[in-house]
Amino acid sequence: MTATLARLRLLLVPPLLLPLPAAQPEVKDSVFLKDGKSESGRIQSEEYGALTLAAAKGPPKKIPWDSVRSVQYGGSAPFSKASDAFSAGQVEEALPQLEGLRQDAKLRPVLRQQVLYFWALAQQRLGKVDEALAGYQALLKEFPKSRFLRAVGENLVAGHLAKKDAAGGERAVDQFLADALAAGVDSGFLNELRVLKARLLEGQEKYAEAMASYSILAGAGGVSAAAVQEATLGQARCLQKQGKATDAEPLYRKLLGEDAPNFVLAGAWNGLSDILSKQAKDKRDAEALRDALFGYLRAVIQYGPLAGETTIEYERGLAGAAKCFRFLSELETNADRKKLYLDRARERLSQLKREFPGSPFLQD
Amino acid sequence: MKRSFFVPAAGLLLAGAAPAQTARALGKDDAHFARLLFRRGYPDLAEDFARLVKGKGKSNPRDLAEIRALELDLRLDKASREPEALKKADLIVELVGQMEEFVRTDPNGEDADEARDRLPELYRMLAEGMAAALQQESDPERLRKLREEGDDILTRAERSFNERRSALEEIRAEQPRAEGQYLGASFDRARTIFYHALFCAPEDPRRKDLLEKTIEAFQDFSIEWSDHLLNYHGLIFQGLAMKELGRSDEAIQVLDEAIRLRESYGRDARGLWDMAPDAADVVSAAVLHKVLVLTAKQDYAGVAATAKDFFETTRDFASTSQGLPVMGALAQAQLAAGDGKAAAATAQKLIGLDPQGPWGGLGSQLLSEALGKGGGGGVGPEQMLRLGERMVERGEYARAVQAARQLLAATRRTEKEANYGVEAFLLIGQAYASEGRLHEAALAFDVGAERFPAGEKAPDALWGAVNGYLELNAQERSPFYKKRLDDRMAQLARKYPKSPHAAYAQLVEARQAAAEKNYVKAAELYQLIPPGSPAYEQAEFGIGGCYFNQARRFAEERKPEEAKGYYERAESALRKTLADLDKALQKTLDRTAQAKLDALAFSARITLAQIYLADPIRRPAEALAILEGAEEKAGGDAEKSAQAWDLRIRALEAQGKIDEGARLLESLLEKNPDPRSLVGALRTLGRALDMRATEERKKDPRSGRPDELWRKAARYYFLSAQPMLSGSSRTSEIEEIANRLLVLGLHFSGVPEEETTFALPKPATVRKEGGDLLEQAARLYEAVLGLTPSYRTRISLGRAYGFLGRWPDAARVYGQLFDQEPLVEKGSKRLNPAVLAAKPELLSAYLEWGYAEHQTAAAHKETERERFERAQGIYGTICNSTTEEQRLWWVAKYFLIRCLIDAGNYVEADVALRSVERTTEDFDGGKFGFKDLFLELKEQLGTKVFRMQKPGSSEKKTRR
Repeated sequence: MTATLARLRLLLVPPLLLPLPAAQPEVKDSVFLKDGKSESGRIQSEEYGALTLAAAKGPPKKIPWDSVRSVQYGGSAPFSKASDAFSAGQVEEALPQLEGLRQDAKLRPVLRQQVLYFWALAQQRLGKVDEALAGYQALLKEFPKSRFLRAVGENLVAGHLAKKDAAGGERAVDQFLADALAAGVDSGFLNELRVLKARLLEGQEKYAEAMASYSILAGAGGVSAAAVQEATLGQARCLQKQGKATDAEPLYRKLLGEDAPNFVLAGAWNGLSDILSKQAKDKRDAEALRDALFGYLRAVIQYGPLAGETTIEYERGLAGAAKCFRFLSELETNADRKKLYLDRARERLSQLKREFPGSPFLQD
Repeated sequence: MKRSFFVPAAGLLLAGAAPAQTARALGKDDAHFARLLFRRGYPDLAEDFARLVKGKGKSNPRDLAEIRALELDLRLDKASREPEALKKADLIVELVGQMEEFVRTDPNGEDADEARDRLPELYRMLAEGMAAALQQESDPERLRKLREEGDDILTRAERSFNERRSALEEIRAEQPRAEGQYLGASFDRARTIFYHALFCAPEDPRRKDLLEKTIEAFQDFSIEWSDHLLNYHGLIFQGLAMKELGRSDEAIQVLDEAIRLRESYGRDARGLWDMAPDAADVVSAAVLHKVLVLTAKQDYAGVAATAKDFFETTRDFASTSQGLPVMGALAQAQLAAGDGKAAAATAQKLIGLDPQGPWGGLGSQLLSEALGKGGGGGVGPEQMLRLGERMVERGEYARAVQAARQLLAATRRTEKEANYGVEAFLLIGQAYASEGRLHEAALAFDVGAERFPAGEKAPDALWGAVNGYLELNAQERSPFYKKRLDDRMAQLARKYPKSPHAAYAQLVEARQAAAEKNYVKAAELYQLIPPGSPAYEQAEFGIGGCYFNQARRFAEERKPEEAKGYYERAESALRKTLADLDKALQKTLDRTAQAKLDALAFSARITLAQIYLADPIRRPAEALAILEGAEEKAGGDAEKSAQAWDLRIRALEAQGKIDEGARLLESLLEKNPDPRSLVGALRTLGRALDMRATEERKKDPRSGRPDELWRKAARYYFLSAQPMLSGSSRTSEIEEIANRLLVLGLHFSGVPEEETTFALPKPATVRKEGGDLLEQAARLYEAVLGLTPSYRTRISLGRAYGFLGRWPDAARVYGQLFDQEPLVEKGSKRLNPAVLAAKPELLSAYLEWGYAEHQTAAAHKETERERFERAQGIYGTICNSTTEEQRLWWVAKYFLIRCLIDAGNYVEADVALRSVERTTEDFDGGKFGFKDLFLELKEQLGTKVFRMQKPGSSEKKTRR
């Protein structure tokens, strides 16, 4: 919140009054559905598949996430503020607010779950991987069927890979899957979570083994279309890493023709752009580089993540765009334009650094 | 390097106030002007100005009184802005002490009443400020002291009001003025008791007593002055005290009583209370506090009813003092009640009522909170979109993009996905375009049209993409963008033939030709657009613009005849454009269309003025005429207004009427002391005066007139700089002004033109007048460095501080410079020739660093050994890297010995001096002017060191 707004907050308190303890209004949540309707009551829990809402009359109702447009939590102003700062990329500003909420023992569980997740995510964004991993474990302990289950698994893998601790990652993923099983996570979703094992293998550059895992998942029954698409993306990446770009490219293009989750489509654009930029660089072809540049930018602009979603492809897109501008600068002979491209490369890299100080793509 | 005193920076030829001001800035009604500066949000300028007015010594008593009042406001302002609670508390305590002293020493003086009036507000600030400070303080001793201090002041305040009441009570019946003062003292006493209560900790039993005493005091007040407006203020205080005591229902009752003030007025035909503005303000405050009491009671229905009644029955409720806060409080209550949808609607109204102001900002914040984390909270897609647009307007681009993503997610697979989808990408495009990220912007627009071709605004998105690729193509000249551009234009014509953008697409080819600087071809293409096309006027302007650019090209190529021909063609085309624009304006009532036509008209006038000022044309009177009223077409755009002013000044200058320009500008400054809208004019005028002074000095070096002109120029440069610091001006523009102020500052300091450094054995003493300008230059350089660090700017800043004798600052700046610039080869104590070859300016800067460290150390001998050593190291390095054949060697050696003396190392100094004496022939033999200086050092050392010459020994001793 800006200083001006902070002052206005004080103005809203009567000009003659000292700050008073905040009132605790009765909690009433509203769930707004994609069909334009809404439900209100008290949200009892938020799990990976659905939220459970206790209405004034009738039994609690389970509402699947894919039918939810948005949720309004009653009495959530401090959390909204922290979350708003996080969404706006002001992670350092959000962290102390989240920390305060994390220490609040009276916070409603439904908000606490979010606080724990965003706190850990904020740590990860800032490059504090150990704190983040511990944070995710704390979240899973309190909410074993968390609505963030999938994202937590992804972040656990990314965190261990960032630490170059594959063995630790493997243990963490095994434990994660075992806990999910013990908590009663349904088998379909559990199967989808197995993609994490493949990601871990891929992160260790065991591409053949990772390919095999992705293939199994892509062919498995009972998993969602999104999980299959994610596995296909994994296969394409592994092929590419193995130097089989010509085999990877059709997979990327196939995915781009489908209705897939944003991070899958962003990943496909990034993969394709990696191939294009390499070819363009080899041929010193500025026009083809621009194709790659706009491919990377699609990952940033068209398929950017929502707050709390995985950001790895977004980061990769930004880094890729910076790389393309740098290559363009190398190919350019006009001094002014050369500088222009270099400035543009720097702009994208500084954005990446500002938004994700702990990004693995900053090390490239 | 010689200072280019007579050549103002070339960049100043283009259109472009400053923190500290010179006495030259003074004129008539100075105190009033200072007050206006404060009101316009320039406390720094106001403070400087106030200081100058006081310093000039000839101000009239009225001015001085106003300045004293202003100083108090400035200090209050400073205290209220202080972010650190403890510091803030200290500032207020100090201020209260001084005010009380002021009232005590001259209780019947003219200003005493005003000071008394201000005191209660200070007590409120004190109570709040100290309470905040207490929360932050952990040191028990400091806590105790703070409490005692606050308690003391507030108890003293109460006592003082009591005493004053008693004194006035005796005479109130006889003296009407005393009756008013008695009323005031009674009211202030009661509210001071309330502030005192608030200051007490919740567990302090006095808090309850004082709150009850507050209620009693205001009730007494009410009995005596029931029909006075202050009584209604008193009711509000009672309400607040009751709320604090937990007596919410009673609080609501008295607040209702305050609200009933409106019933003493009638209602108009629409049922609105016909209140006087003062009364409406009191009612709004009572409503606000009632809403807050109800919110605390969680009576949200009551909140809604109270606010609704107020909004519906108060004429222009938003202009009452607490009207917008009531709306903000309502939105917050709705949020607390979990009614995000209602909160968002209220927040949007708040934004609508105060779009550019702070309450609009709060509305955005509340809307954002209503949006919440979970993909939009209770906010509907329309509200999300509006919120995003608002964020772009406020420059919150990352948040706007995030809001757009939420909008995309929230409307995915819904009926309105196409419309909102394209809107979301338009928003993303606008956010990136506003940041100057053209690639991202073009792609966002493109994706919007590509993914949601059925969206209502898909043609807008496609048009955005066309413009983005057009601009990228102009910058990068790439077939990639050209292909995309052609393709998107074809799509626009094919898919959306009825869209107005399709007509504008005809312009694109011409714009491309113009971007490729093929102006004649571009003009021909513009001519193909027929009358009646929505793009006709734009095309007409394009023709004029192209001819103008072609004329300029010929002028640059020194082909005046050809240039003249094209200027004339441009003039004729633009005159016709203006006539057609007038006709088009009369035909439309659509505000957006009118704004577009106005913008074109403004540009046409500006171009025409440039034509009239161009060399082969030279009709400045016509330039002035065409610029008359140009700002009306500028739609309040400060940049555009500056552009018009720039040309106006140039026209006057061309007519030799520069003084008229100055008078015109002065009168504008008097009417509107906000220099933001006049930046361009101020800068141009400054430059014009600067140039004129230069010419006159060349003609007659002994005339006093150039100095007069330079003083004026400095004032205008100075006034133009401050807004530039807070605006979007290029740092190069600010630096150019700083450079000029530096040069003028040295001139008015009496520093000879050939002296470019302060590191001299006998430097010139800077005079006050020049010193002020140097201070301003330094502040501008500091600002520039904050934006774009550059070694040259750092050298200039260090030099400004050096000439000012601000040695620690100079040393800091040079230290930062040489942290960045590896001038000294590691381990060798020699200067790096490669670095020096690339940046020769660093050499004198290095010497200046040594000198700044040396002078800083000399001022604090006992504590600055390190600085002495650093200075000696620098001088030594310069000596190691130069030879006796160079002047710099002599300078460095001289300073090295002086530094040793200043540090008290007389023996070392003596050895060094004798070594120079021994190894050179008669020192520099007078070649560089150092012989006498060394002899002076020798004499000085003779008084500090004596030798006991023993056979075979050269032992020396220091005199004690």
